[in-house]
Amino acid sequence: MTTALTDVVVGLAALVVLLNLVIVAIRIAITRRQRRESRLRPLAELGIAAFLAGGPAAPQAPQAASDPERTVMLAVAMEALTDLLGTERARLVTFLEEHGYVAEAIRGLSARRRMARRQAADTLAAIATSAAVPALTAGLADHDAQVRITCAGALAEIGGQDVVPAIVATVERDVAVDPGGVTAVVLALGMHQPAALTALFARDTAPAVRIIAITVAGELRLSQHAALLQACLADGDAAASRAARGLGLIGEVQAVGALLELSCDTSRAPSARAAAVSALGLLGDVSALPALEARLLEEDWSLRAAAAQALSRLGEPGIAALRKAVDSDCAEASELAEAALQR
Amino acid sequence: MKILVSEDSSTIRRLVAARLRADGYEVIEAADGQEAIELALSAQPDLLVLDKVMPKFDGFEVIRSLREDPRTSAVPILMLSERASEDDVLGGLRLGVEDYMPKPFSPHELSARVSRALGRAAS
Repeated sequence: MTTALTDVVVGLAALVVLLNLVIVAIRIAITRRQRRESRLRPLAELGIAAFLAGGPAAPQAPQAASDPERTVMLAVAMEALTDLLGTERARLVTFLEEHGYVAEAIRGLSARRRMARRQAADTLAAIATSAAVPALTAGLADHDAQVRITCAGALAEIGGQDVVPAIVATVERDVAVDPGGVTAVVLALGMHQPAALTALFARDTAPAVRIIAITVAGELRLSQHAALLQACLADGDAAASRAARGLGLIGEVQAVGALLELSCDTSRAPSARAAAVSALGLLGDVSALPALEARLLEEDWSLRAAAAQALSRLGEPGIAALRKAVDSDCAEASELAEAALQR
Repeated sequence: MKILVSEDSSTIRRLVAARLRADGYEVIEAADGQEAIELALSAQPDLLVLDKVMPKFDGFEVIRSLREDPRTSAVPILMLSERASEDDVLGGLRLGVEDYMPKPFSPHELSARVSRALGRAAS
């Protein structure tokens, strides 16, 4: 019995010693890597800086032969790419292509380890070179959602119209897993290929993706989508709210009638009606005046507040309506009208 | 002409410094706001390229401090900023920033703006 206990204690002690040895070994390896990186980093930074400052006739590209040197060189280049525009950025991208960094990242996109694939996708997205389009397109079929979304974001920026259907399929697949990532992809699509958003407005698109597309089209003030946004006013309340705001931001005066209709529709949620009221204020069309005055007397606070704010944007007729409301018997309307006049 | 480049990212600082050296300027470098103030007062540069977001003192604090000292009160400043909101730009202009460049930026364009700011200061 005692011998068995002793064996257990000795075994545990050996395990503790072994674990400590492993921890020490890992710490030593990390420290050595950090020291090596801090030794190599200034050389990589100076090499890239001199190369880019030298102009197109620069005699020598920065050198990095060993794996650690290449790792540090790539990290420094990624940092620089984030803050660079113009010819220097283009030269750095060419350097990364010519010295195999892009090819290495493309290979990394097929690695077995998920982290390696994510890192490769991040690298290719940062470099944003058209040479990576086929690999990024293949990356849309990755098992990992983060890899797929990173690839989709990069393709939205650098891919052509051909890849749009694959991007759309990816955002629909992943919107439930990573709505923030999908929003970034749709935003990139709106900025770089605004016409491609049309595909996301289709009725059979996943509702969450459709709402993101409506929001992006409005916030980016993509006037070419004004007609589609106007059609969305008849959709569910969430989509209609965002479409109304977008129409206001775009300044789509053709939508005044539809916005008036939505603002008066008591079967709709107050949030959608309030968004239509705010949009009417942004459009500044005085034909909305009677409807906005009526909204000042609504039961819902958000509608009354939106109406007061909208009236304050209608110039003199709106100000006159607010002054009249200040003197009215309705205390809530009077208070909001006064606040709007003070703003 | 002597230019002080103050930027906490060593990669970007070295990039800007190399670009300006290639243009024939003498360049001194600071990695944070405190070092920028010390170097500006001791080395008396003809122009500062200043990042807005830096450790110890941010770009605005550096400008305020330099404007209070007669040795640096008139030195032209070109500000780099990754979050150039309207308030940032107006705040910088009120403090006497000569020019603003949002990040990401083109070092070529920065070089042209530096040249223009120095020309204005000389005239």
